[in-house]
Amino acid sequence: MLETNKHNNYTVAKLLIKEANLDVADQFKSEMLQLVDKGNNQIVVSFENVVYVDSSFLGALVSVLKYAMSKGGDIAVAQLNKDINNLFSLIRMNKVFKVYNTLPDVFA
Amino acid sequence: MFLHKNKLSSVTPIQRDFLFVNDSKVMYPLLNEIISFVKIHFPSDVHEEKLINCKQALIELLTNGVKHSKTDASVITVILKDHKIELIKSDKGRAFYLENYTGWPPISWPLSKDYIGEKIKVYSDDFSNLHAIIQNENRIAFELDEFPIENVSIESNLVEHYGLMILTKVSDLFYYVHDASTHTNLFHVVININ
Repeated sequence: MLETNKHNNYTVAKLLIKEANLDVADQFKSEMLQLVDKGNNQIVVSFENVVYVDSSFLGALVSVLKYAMSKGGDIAVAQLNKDINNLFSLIRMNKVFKVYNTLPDVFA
Repeated sequence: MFLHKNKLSSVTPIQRDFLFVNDSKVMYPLLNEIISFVKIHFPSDVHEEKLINCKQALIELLTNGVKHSKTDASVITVILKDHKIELIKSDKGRAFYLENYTGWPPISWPLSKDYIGEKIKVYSDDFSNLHAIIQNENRIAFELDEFPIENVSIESNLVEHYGLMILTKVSDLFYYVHDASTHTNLFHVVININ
């Protein structure tokens, strides 16, 4: 589900799915936790391929953030489409996660 | 009198039912089908923000059907009026419940008349509280109180359940009705256009 690449001081985890919903939320969480456990605790999740996000997937994302923070890390999101960006603003997830329009040079 | 094809008469709501088999694999095609129907009457170039909210509400209603209804099918009824979009998800599955809820007032359908006006705490974290207000024996409406988000840290208490919160945020009115006589559940979302 995730394609990962090291990028300067962070890891890009690109979602290879179109629908970020309850079907894939558990698998996403499991793969992300493994990434954090392997020492990738600064992760930018790329939503470039994703057309919509549901509440189950958001819950998994928040759960991963809490785990990463417990290890001294952080999770950001990037390349949200207009609908997903609107959702993040609406429920203030843009205050919880750093949101990048494009992949950043440095995850600061 | 002729009406522009995209202009709704103020006296004739347009209504259509969409069957959903509570399977996530058909969520996205159905979502697109419903949004295409809404767009005929509320074009996206004029109502873009409302349509984004409508789409997200549908995603959560359909997700709710898959995740919580415990039945084979739901119906999404779309009612388009001149100043509002109404989305109603109905099924004959499990009545509204909260996992591990032991709070007060108790949730047992029909609700007791004694509890009308009381608030059920759906969840609470550092950034918001979501309550269900008991409006009558069969109906609860959702209400969200939000607090400023200053700083998110490992100390922050953050919930991981967003379905009802999203539905509350994208709508101008959001409520649930349980009809015990027909075992029918309705989640009703109203989005005002103006």
